[in-house]
Amino acid sequence: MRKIVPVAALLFLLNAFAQVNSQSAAAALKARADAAQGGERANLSLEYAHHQLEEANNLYTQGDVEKAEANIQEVLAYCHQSADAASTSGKRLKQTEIELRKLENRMRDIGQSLNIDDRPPVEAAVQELEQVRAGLLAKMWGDKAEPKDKS
Amino acid sequence: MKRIVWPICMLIWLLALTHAAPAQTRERDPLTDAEVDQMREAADYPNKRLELMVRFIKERMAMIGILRSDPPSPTRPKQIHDYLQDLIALLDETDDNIDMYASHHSDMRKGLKLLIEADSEWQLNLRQLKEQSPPDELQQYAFVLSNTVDTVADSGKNARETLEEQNKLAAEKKLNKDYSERKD
Repeated sequence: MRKIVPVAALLFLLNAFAQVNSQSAAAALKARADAAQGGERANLSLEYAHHQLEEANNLYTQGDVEKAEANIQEVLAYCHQSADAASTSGKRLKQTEIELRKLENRMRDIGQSLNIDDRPPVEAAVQELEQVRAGLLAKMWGDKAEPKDKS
Repeated sequence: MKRIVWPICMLIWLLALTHAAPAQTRERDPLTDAEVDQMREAADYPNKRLELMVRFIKERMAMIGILRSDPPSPTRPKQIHDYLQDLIALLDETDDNIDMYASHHSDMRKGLKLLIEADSEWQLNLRQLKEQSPPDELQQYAFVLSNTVDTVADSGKNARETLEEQNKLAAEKKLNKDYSERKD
């Protein structure tokens, strides 16, 4: 028994360390996205949004719906930040639009895997991302540009 | 019991290190001061400027190669991530330069050829990075790596299209050798 307790404590700490490490990497990425400018801000913000979306998916899987929905809102905020940075600087517009489309598709897939009761916030977020993308397309091609794969 | 104390102390130290990481955030500049000076000096010579850009990108790519051949370390994924981010910034800067010189009909055919040749090599380097990175490391820069691959492909396409336009303009004798010769 005396041997099991320290080993269990070590395993617990290792698990905690892995979780803290992942959260810390995300926090560092978020801080870098906030501090960056122009195209780099657009890139890093999208990377952080992508990370948070996968985290939201994990939280939904674990049944922590409230936290998952908070993550979805964070994803939206950083998609807006990315699109704003690309629009303002005129850099990475095309790449940002492409990455937003990928993220939107992933979010739609995650939404469809959820219970019906949990879907509305994700579906609303997908619609909002559609608007963000439409804004970027309008910036690139003019006001008549619309996302082709509207659904 | 003593044997368990040391690893726990190490873990606490590592935790403290990872918590300190966000405080080290600062805006990165993809070029050094010396490189910026070289770029300024070459501003009137499009071929020279493109040659410099290609060299700077190759140097970052080589740094990633060196990191990959080094023994694994906890900071390696972050370093590779940052070099990839620099590559994107430099490729964007190269494209901006090409657009600027092209709009003034400045001859950069030599520089464009260099870029097109290097583009295939960079695609190969990035593919190898993706295929040969340990999965736990790749996870930490997969997003930026995918962006870099797309940016390299776009940059190559832009260079090829511009070279085609420049060849047509050269046949019509409508290209300026130096940027300072532009007529606007």
